[in-house]
Amino acid sequence: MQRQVYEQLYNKIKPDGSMVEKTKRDMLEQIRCMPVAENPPLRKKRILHIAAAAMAVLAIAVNASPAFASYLQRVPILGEVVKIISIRTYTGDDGEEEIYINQPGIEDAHQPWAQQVNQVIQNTVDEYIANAKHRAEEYKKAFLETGGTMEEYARKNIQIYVDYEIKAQNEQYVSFMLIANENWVNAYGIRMYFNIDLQTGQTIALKDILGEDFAQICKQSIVRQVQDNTLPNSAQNYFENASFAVTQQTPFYINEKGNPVIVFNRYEIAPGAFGIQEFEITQP
Amino acid sequence: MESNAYIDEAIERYSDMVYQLAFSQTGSRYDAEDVYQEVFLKLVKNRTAFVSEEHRKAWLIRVTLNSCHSLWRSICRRKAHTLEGSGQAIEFVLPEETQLYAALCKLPAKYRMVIHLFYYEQMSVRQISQSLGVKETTVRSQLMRARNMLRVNLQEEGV
Repeated sequence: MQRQVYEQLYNKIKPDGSMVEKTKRDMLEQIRCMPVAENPPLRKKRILHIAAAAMAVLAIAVNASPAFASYLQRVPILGEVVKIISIRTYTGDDGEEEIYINQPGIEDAHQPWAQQVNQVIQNTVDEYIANAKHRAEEYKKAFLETGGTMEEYARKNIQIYVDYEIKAQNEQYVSFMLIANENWVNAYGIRMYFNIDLQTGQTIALKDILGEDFAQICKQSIVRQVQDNTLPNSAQNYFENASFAVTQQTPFYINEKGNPVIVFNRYEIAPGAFGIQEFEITQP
Repeated sequence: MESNAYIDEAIERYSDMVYQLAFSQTGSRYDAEDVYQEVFLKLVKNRTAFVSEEHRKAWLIRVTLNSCHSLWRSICRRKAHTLEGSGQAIEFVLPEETQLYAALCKLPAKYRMVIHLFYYEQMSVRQISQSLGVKETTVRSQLMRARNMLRVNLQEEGV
């Protein structure tokens, strides 16, 4: 076929400049209705030191669900306190992007499970940074190829973040979140939750905390909370056909009260302006 | 004008592709513009986390094509000769262009689609099959049939 003729034909078919500008303005307007990408805090979350093991156990037993309390009591307390700390911090500007890394890890990881957790975190962070740098590279190339200058590019101040937030930490379990983000595009950020039984190194599942019926318990609690949050005449509400189903794969963290907090990503159950939705599941 | 890195980058990368694909389907600048604006607004509202650039590109192609079909307009409804009368005529420079365009008009929309993605966007059969969500064998046979039909149409145009 005459590919060249086809190309000549379509090379002439370009969108009108002012239409493109109007589209960009409309897109900007749309984005303004949504919150900007959350830049994770750069401060280190203070690590909670719980002096007396007894106090910790008592605190948990009082606040947590009966199922969780009995789950914890099944495992004897060992002497060692396992801490999550920043094991790698890096602030750099390698001329291309600014990179801030505050990477969590289990301190003095001797046991295989601790080393494994640290390895998973390391791999996740490395992969994220590599992909983010690649995305920035592609963007820069496209930017320069379409007439942008290096000065204009530098002014965009591309930044890549890795940080973490400890949700709860004591001698029995730790729950923390790994966050990775870049400041120039929303779609690729990650939030990864770790809920670890510090005695066994096992990941704590919702089933361990709430029992076999966890899916039902969670869904009921969430539906109730959604109803309480829903304003009757508001234009912005949870999606009508939103699924509040909770499975083994649903991301969650454990708060200091020992309650699981279910996390729904932005857009999953509500418009983007609602942001990330969290629901604490207290005892039924 | 205030700008946003994400918007600028998406438009820089895909503005032409979306517009040209929309035009190849609808045959009208007005319709192509409608589709264009709809697609890019959908992009910023989008909930899918793209796992790669290819994923984003495939998503854009799919959304563009869906948008074209929902416009209920088809180039097949217009006869070739009305193109000169409409204010949105493309400036054909060479007679080959007029002839090719007229021949393309006679193809069904989905054949024009694979022709455009294969010859103009220079996508592989695999990439096309992933973007459209159809089997590679389907794409290949559509390409073959499209080429044959085009050849017949061009002969009718006196090429």
